[in-house]
Amino acid sequence: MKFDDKIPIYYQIKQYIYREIIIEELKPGQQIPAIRQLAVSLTVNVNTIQRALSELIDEGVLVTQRGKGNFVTTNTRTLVKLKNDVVEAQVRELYDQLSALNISPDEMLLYLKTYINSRKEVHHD
Amino acid sequence: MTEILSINNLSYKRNLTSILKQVNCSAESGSIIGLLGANGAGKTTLMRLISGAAKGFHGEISINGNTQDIERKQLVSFSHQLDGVNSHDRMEKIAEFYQAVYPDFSESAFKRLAEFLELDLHQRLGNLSKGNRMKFIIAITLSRQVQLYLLDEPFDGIDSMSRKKIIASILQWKPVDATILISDHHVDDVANILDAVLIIKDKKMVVSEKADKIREEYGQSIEDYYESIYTGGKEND
Amino acid sequence: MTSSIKLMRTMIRQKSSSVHKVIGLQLLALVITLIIQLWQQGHLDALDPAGFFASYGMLATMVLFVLLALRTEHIWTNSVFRLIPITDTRLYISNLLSTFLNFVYFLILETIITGLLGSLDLADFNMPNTSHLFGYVTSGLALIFTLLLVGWTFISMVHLLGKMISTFLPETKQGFIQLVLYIVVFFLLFFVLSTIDNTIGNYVNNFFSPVYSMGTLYQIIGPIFILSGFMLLWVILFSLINIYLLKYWTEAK
Repeated sequence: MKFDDKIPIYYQIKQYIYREIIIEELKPGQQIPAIRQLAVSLTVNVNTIQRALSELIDEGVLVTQRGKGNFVTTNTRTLVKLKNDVVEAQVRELYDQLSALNISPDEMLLYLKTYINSRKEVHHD
Repeated sequence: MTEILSINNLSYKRNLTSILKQVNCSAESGSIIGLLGANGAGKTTLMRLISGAAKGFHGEISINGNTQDIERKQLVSFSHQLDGVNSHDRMEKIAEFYQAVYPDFSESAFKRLAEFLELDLHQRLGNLSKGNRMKFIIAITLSRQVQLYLLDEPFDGIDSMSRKKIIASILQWKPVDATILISDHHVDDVANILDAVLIIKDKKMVVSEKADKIREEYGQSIEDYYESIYTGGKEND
Repeated sequence: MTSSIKLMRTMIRQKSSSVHKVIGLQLLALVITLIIQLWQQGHLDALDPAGFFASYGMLATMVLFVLLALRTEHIWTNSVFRLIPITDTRLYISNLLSTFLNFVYFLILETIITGLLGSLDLADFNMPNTSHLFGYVTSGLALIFTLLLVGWTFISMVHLLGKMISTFLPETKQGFIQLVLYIVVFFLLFFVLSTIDNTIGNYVNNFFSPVYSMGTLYQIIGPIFILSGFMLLWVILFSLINIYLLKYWTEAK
């Protein structure tokens, strides 16, 4: 995984795990790899992984089972909220950027619809 | 976290030239710390002083509260360049020597590291490529079971595959509570794995900062920050 | 902490390769000599392998002395040894003692080989008084051993002093100052050696000279022991200085 060195690594690891959970690469109740294994595969420090995981545990996204390791939560509400939060963050960014170009909400919807349709056509080819 | 290394007002002179001036710094136990600075800034000297290889400094170097040479030698493993070893010796023989005279040298740790780093231990030290020689030095250094490891420029002049292997071996085999100080003049090599950075410039320790603080509060990459320290304001000469 | 015994065992093993090398060369020289002799004389009867071997003994001893000195000095500045968790005093003693024991090992090997090649005919020597034989042998060995130790500790002292002095000098002047130091040392050594040489010369002359009366020669044993005692004091003095220099001034490369 390639990191953006301007952003704290633990934060990027959290985002990475969110994504893995949303696309169900990590399924509800599935065990997360051991800390050291994650450190080696992502080429980051064990402490960094530790920090990311402990924040994820605080958020309820991961659950620790004593002596067994960390697992993705099976709590549907948490998982739905996680997905909403991540999507909302992306949408918020798009919204902010477009409104910075003085584009009204209605126009935004129009642009978005047109764009989605064009992608669909490309897809059908 | 507890402090493993603490250096107070360290000054060191050699051949009538000052090499380090009033250095103060500390390191938290369990962390990986980058010791950054240009060539000749004093990184190797600082490591030699911590390990006990260099003598005659002013100030205090304390490892877990121990300041005597002999105590530090028991707590520190320093990746010196094996210059004093006969280049005809095979790697396995050098490891046997370490096993015999360093009581904290773990043969099983060495076997694992050597295998991980893909070293052929029958080869003679003098016949190794630069990358393999460094891998061997890292394996020997990390096989001692100590609290503080000093890795001096482990990526200097070696190919990127060896560099990746060495970084992976550090991450894989570092004991949880052990601390590693890595010196480097290419920040890019190690930026991702650092908890904190120390920057030496003009014989002085000018920065001691958490890596995430640099990213979060200054919004800079470690490399940009390092470059700004070296090119920007804080001139001392 | 590393145990001194373990460290010394390792050092003895490492340095013994020098002993084996020197004895190997000595045997090679013997073989070459024998071949030349055989070629010149055409028969084996008059050849004396033990004698030839022994005659190379002095040269071999000198070469080994120098080789062991080099290996001893190498350790003082070698990080592999200097970072071993052991006090400088113990490191010093282990290093010096392992050098010394390798020399003893060398003497034992020389004696065995000479014996195997054709026993030394002790009757050839004009033995003064066999009742004092033990005294002659022990005093002779005491002198040889203390002289060797003086030699090695002195070399270390010059080396370590040179290292210490050079830390106070600008990098550019180092060569010159070291040259001066070595010239001074050379003359000092020359003076000391000639004094020692005279003493030993007298001893050896007395030992083999039939002119001396059998009754009085044994009197030399006492003075030889006293001389060895003085040498030992020098060894201790040099060693104390060396340990100080090692502990506070000598950096590892």
